[in-house]
Amino acid sequence: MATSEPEERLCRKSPDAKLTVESWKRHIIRQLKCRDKAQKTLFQDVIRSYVNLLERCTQKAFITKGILSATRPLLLPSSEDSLSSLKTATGELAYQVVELQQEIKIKEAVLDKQHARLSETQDDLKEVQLEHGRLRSCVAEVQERNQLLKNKYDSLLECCQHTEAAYRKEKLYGSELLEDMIRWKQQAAARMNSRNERRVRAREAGIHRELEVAANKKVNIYEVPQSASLPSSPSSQRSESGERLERSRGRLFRSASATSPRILSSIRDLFEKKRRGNSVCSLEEDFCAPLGICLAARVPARAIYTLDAHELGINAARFSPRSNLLATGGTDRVIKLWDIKAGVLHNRGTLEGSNEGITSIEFDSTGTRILAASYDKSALFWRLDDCVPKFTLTGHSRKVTAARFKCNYRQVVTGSADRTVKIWDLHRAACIQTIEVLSYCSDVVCSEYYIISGHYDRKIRFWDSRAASCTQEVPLQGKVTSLDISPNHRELLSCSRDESLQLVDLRMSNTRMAFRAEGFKCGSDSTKAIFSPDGCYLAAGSADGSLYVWNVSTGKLETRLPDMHRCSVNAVAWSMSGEYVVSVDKSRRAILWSDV
Amino acid sequence: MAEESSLSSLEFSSSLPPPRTRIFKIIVIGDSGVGKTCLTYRFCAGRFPDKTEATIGVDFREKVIEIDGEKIKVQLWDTAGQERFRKSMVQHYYRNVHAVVFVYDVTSAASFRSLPAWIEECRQHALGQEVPRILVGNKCDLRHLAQVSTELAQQFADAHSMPLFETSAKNPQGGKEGGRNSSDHVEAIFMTVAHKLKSQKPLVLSQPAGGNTVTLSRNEEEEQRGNWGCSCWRS
Repeated sequence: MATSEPEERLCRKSPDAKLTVESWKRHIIRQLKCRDKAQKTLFQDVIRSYVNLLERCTQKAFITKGILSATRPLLLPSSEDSLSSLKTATGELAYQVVELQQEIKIKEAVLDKQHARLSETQDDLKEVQLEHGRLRSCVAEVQERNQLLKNKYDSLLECCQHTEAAYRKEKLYGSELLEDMIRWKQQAAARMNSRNERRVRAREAGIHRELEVAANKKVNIYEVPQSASLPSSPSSQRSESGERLERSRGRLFRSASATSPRILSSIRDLFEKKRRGNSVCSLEEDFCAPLGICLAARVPARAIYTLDAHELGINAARFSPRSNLLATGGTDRVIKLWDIKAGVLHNRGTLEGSNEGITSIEFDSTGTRILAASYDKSALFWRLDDCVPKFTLTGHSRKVTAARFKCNYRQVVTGSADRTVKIWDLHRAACIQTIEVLSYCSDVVCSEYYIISGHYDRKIRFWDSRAASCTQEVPLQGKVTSLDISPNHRELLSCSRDESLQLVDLRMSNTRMAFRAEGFKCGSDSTKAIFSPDGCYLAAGSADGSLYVWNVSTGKLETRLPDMHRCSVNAVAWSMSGEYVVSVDKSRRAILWSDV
Repeated sequence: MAEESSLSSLEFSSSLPPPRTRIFKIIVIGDSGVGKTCLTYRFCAGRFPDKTEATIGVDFREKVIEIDGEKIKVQLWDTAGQERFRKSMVQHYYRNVHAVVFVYDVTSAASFRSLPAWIEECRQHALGQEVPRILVGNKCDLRHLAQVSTELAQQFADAHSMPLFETSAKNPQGGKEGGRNSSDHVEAIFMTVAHKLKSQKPLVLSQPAGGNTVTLSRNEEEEQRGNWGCSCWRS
């Protein structure tokens, strides 16, 4: 409505100004149309719907008026209907209620049942739990038992192992015992053997003694004719040295218990020996040269000659068994030969060939050959007419400390620092036997049956020269430095570092005699002590440079000869004539002693 | 065993007989279990031992017997037959032995077969032929179990010029089965050996002296061996 007002106004104005107004009017109309178009059309729908709405509203109001007037009578029958319907509804509802209630009951019953089941289940559960607990305890128990069993098993196993170890130990012990037993048996067997041998020897000796007694009784009967035949016997026969005599005596023992003709012949044998002994006594002055037997050694009383014999220290000295020829060997690698004339030592020659110092010297029975042991691990063998060694016996691995002829002179025995004793055949110049010893061998000697060796382990060992078995050991108090065997082969002299000389009886080796002296001191590990050629005296040099001589029969010191040596005496030699003694020392000095 | 040891210790402790009593060292060797111990025990104690165990090393048994008025001590060396019990002792067995008794078991052919080995061992220890040897077949009371016939043994003994004896240390009376098979008394066997030894040259230590004399004496002994044939032993 508001919009129509301005249009009317515009329309009224337009008659006022006809031309202009016309255009104006048109313009305004146009403007208006435009405005109308923009403003009216937009709201056309709203207006229309508003009108519509109004119409409907009035319509509604009419309707409601009509209805309100019409519903009052209409409401009663409809409420009855609704009542009935309500009633039916209520009935339905009641039915529904009943149904529901039934349903509830059913549900409750179900619930009850379920409750019952639940409780039952719970009971079951409880029971099962109980059972579970029981089983668990059972398991625990079983486990415990298992543990126990395991422990028991373990302990048994341990026990078993223990027992096994014990068994092994016992077994070991058993075998040790067996070995011990075998060792004891071995010793017993060796003892039994040596006892048998001793007894046989004692028996022989007894028979020999009886024979001697018998021989002495009847000596007058035979002496005259036999001594008459003596001087004609050639000297070469006589020279078959004491060792041969010894052997014939040995034979004599063996045949002793034989039939009577044998005894007779052996007695005769004995007389022959006796006769020789007598003859030697009667010819004491000239016997010394051809014979290897001395009947009376003379104890030295004073030094008659002093000489620096070698360039270096002298280790060994030895007289020839046939003459007053002396051999000395020193650290200066040579052996020098000396002759004694008018109480003076004359150099007779030099034997060369050793590469190191000489440790020991020995003459053979003829006095024409010399055997020496050397630091250069060999033993050397010279003939006196030749200054070059005939043989060199090599094979030891350390220095050779001693070399000796065996009784038959065809073999040589050497002892060495390499703990072996070797036996050599001189014909082949070859080692025929090696005896392994446990200890450093310082000296060897040979008797008729035995090889005897002295050792640094304080023992003297006896070897059966055939079987290479140790038949006997003689223990000493100190390292053995030297050995010597008496001229009659019955006694063994040893010098040891306990400052004593020991005399061992070879026939009854348990009897011994010790020789000591105040001031006597062993100067080195190779100090050599010797028998006098008649076996009545012992001689040894001491560390203080004195010479000591003991008497074998009394066991006492015979003499002490001091002050000539300036240092320790290494070796002593006693001439076969019994007249001279030579002592040599470390400071290359040699001293000749005599009784006059 | 204890009995034996006490016996032997008793023998040891007894003071040495006067040196004039000669001792004959006789070794008894043979396989293990042939009855060396029983044999020697029988001879020295006069009865069969109740129970013996393997000999270890050697057992010594001695008995003084009298022959022609001379008292002679027979020293039997009952040696171990098992190698492990004897290995280190063998040289002691053979040292200065005067006679060797080889023993085999007539019920064991193996013990008979190993005799050559024992003889060889004997030879290796440089035992001269002059040392008397005898062969003894033991356990002949078990004649029904015998595996070694007397003929075979006799052949063997002849081949090695040894006299053969068959005996039983357990039952020396033996079964008399006719012929000369009746077994020998243990005592008689050793007495025979002792007689033989006594009639031999006086015994000496068999040490080498290296001289001619020894060679000679050996020869003599060998000559004497001629008497030591087997023929004279069978009577």
